[in-house]
Amino acid sequence: MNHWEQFEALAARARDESGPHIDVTARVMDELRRRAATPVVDWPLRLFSALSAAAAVTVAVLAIQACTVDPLSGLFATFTMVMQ
Amino acid sequence: MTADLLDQQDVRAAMAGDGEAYRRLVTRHQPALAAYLWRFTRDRRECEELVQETFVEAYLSLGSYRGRSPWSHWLRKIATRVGYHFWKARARQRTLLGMSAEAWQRAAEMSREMEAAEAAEAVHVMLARLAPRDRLVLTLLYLEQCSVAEAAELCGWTQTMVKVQAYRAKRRFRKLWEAEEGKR
Repeated sequence: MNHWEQFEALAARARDESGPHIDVTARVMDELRRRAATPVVDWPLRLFSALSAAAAVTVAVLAIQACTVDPLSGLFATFTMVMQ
Repeated sequence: MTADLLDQQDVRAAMAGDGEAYRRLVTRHQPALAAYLWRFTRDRRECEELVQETFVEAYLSLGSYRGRSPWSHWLRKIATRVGYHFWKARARQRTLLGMSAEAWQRAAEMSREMEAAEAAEAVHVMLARLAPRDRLVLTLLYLEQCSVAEAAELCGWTQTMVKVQAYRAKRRFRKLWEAEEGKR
């Protein structure tokens, strides 16, 4: 019998085992009640979300402004002024 | 009324906030769940904790249950995840669990005369030496006798991934025991 066959023989025998008799009903219901009774403290998360959103909006506005201005226009304006 | 219809009815009631309905679901499904999670630990207290954690997680994600498959299948998927995370947390301890190759070989030879619980204990000790992923795939395929498709569904993997993982796990299993024999 090689190792794998040994494993399969043991696994086949092990399959007949039944699990332990347990009763966790009361514990589960208590845990769910406890969780429902605990207020969720989420104000730090809300504050952080608001700050992140404000920062994102600022960056977006600056980015749009930068995109709408022709980057070469400043350079040409200076050049034209010098030529004149 | 079939068990599945009864489950669907209780799930709907539990989602609507009926605690008694969820209590009935727990009572009905805990024996099967305990037997399944007994593959993940041989400690009764730990098994109780895993069963409890599975039911709590299941309750908290009831909203994601679409009712396309029986509730017991959906519950088993959660239990697989809970058991797998338990193994991952315990992975560092696997070197502490020990059974010599000689002792294990003796156990395998006597497997027919052994009590199922003794055989399960030997298999548990043996598999505990493998990485959690290897252990999970071998447990599902050889202890739970799941098909590749069932194992894929329980693990959230593709069927190809289950086959590849099973092939690798078997190879690592053989290597592990060849190395153990080499120590003798």
